[in-house]
Amino acid sequence: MTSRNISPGLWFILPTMLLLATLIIYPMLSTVELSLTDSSGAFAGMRNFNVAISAPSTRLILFNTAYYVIGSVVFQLLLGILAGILLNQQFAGRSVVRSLMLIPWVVPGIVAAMTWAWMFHTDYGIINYMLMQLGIISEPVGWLTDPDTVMPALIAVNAWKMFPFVAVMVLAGLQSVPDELYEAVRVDGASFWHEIWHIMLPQLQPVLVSVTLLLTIWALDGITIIYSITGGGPANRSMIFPIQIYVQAFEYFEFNRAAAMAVLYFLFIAVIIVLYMRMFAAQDKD
Amino acid sequence: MQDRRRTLVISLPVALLVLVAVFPFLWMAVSAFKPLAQLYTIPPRWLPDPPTLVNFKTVLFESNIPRYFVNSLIISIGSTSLALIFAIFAAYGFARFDFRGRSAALAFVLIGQLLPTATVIVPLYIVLNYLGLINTYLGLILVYLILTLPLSVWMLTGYFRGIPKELEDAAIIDGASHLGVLFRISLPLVSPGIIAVALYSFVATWNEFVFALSFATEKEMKTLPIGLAEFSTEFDTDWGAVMAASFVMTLPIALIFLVMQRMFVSGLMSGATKG
Amino acid sequence: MKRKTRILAAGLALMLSHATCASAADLVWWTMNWNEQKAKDFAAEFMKENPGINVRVEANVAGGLQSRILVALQSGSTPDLIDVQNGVNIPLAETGKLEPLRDHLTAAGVNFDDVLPASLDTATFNGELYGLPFQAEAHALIYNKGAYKEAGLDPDKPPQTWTEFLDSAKALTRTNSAGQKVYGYGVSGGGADQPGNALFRSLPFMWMNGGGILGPDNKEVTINSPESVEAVKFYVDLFTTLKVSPPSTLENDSNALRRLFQVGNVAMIPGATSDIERIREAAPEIELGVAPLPHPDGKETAVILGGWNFIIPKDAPNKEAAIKLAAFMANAGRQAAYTTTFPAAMSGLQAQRFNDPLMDAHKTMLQHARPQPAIPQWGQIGQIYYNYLQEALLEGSTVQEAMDAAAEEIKSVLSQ
Repeated sequence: MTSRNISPGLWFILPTMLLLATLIIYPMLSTVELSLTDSSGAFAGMRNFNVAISAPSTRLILFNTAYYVIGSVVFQLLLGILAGILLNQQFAGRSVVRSLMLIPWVVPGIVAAMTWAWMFHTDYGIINYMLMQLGIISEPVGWLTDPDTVMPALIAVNAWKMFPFVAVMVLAGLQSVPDELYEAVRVDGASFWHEIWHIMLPQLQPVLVSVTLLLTIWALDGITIIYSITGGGPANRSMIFPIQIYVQAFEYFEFNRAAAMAVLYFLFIAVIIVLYMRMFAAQDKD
Repeated sequence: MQDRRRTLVISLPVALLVLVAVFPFLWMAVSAFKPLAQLYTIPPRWLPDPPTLVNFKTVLFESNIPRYFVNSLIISIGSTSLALIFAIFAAYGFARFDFRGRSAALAFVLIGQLLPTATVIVPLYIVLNYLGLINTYLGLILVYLILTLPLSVWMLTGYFRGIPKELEDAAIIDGASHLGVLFRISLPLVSPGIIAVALYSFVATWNEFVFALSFATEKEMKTLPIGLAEFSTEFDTDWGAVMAASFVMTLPIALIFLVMQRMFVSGLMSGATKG
Repeated sequence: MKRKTRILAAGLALMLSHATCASAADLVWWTMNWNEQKAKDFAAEFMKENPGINVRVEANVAGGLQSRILVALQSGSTPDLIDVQNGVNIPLAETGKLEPLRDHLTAAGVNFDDVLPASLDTATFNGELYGLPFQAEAHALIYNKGAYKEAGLDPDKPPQTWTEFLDSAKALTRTNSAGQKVYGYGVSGGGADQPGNALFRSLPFMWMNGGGILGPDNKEVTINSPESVEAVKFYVDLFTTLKVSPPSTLENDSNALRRLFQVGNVAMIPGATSDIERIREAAPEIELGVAPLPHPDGKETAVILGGWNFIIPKDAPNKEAAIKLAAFMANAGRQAAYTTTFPAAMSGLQAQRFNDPLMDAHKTMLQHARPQPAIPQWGQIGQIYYNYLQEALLEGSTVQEAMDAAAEEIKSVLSQ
């Protein structure tokens, strides 16, 4: 279907490319310029980059970022796919349940964060209260203050917040699976698991490829939840890179250093995307 | 028979799912009906006694929330529709044609999402100011395309790919143009995907805070998330009012989706099975 | 399909018809959302006195305030007058985007002798004044008289020294007659409003003890001096070894501490006059006492000066009118009405609204209040201190080790 001269595909994508270029190119160039200059606008070489990397907490923060991103994406996908498949089944009240499931995603991020911080609170939080009433724990757990539990707790909040997005995308993908495919295997007496494994997941593959990439990018830029629950504490145990960038710019007023960090971060994510697209493009060929 | 057994097997996980999804929201919603003195107690108090409507009164009659609701509606609908129009063409182009630089272009679409908000916000402000779009609906609608367009393109590309190519090839052989194929054959097939993407765009713009904060400074242009922040004063947050306002912000979307379920189903009906 | 198109077109038309543009001739005043009505009233009064000037009041919200102001300053398209917290006045001045004000305002008739000197310090950078203070406040110790009585303490004799403070905190930490656990004092060690809340509550301990984070010239790092470490240890021990601060200490910002106070879980917290108002509203049954912050034996009390200043951007389109408006708002009576705590113009304290015996301790503390160090890196230094304070509260290291490490990091920030 490729055409000889200019592919019609180019005409289809042109408006979007132009629009995004208008909005993005100046901010990009300006970020690069800022990263190479000091606050008076003079050329600073690599100094901003050196300062950005040499902070003693950099290793801990990189580790936290990886932990947060991987943890979030895995649980968002698991929960989301599960929910999507479940809600594609026939049962009474299905459309109400589908709408209810959207709630975590639709609730404003800051409000969700504040509500969870409140629920997790050691002393007046409902979670400790319930667990103690049920006899599961005997004294309050400091979910957000214990270095061992703070990241899992934040990942749980992030997974809760975004799994409906995955579920909706999966649901939409499953809608376009032709009924014949199911009927064909059901005649053979295939199990539900067989259907999931051999029909649903392969059909969903292109959608899941995109969803995974987007979730990764969002988790890599997601500051609201951590920033408004722990602020990165206790003692940097939940600090992640994007918060550092935000704080550098808007709390320390170090725009140049924030830009340098943004450029490094950008390159890092770009590498991930290129690798990812290689894999995904390779799969696409067959 | 088999369906009934399935329903039983399904109901337990569904109940669990609903519980996990809804519990924090219920906790929020219940607090919206609590008077100040019952919000924080040790041990926590499940239900308000007696329930009060004072928080909803504050939100609906004594705050800017109703005005901001209209602003948010205009901006979110505007941005969502624009994103969809651009994305449908782009996604079709990416999904159905092979051309040089296709992968690079697809990657470029994502670039706007890769720049941390903290660094793009000042240059964006300068661009908008140059175009005279600070404090306008159009300004925020355009800026929000950075958030919504990349995702819409990527997701729709995935959905278009999911359609069996043979369906389109048959129409092409019959002499239909690419545009004709897109609108008459492919688009109806991906309508569930379009709804999903529209829902995403709407939610993302509906809840966006930082851009709205910087690019809409006048009351006439501010959006709901700013309205939420207005319940915080120097030393405290009117938590009951925040909860009531979140309630007002959240329910319409869930209701719209409930209504849109029908379109999900119609997407299925007109699907490949009839082809 | 047709109906959809129509809806879309209607939406577009609506959106374009609303795309209004503000007139550039207006003087734009960025106030805070909680002061919006007052600011509008003053603006109306001002416009009556100055018929040629049109003031438009826009309300900011506290969340993201700094970023919003910075975006405007950096882009060069700014409002004319902005309310800012005094802690960010100097960092903002350091960006070079603020107008120096002393000469302008003196010419406009502002009497700086009436302004609290420490407040002026919060706006002074390199010898120049970059802000006009209008609000000043300091913490005092707010305590629950009922809890005092239950613990067998005299509610009219609040602790004055650290020794007395420790004794009361220990006595207050108990299970009360209703079977509820009570803690003596609330240490702020976490939560969202940080590092500010922890800094405001712990740095005074260092100052009172003769220490601090930086020396008097803001060049020398004194955070690991014996006086500072002793003070931080005193603060940290309240939670770690003495356990007179609740288990949630590492997640409590000022709001969380006040909530715990309101439900009777914590018996003493540091707070401003506004905290008294909030507690009275949420828990009217609590009998409140207020006292100056306790100090080490034989030494003086100290506290951080909080408050708000007006600033005028260098790129402000209506600078002259903005100076007029600032001078108008410098009036002590107007400040007394505009402030949410105390006015920075001291004669404003005579106003009726400050005639409340529960505010006496706060007035006393205002005399002992000091500005935060006037250097642009202060935000970063505060964050470093806060991280290591948390480290000590977590008992990941001793206070001495934590403060030594903090000192190293702060030195490297200062040398950049």
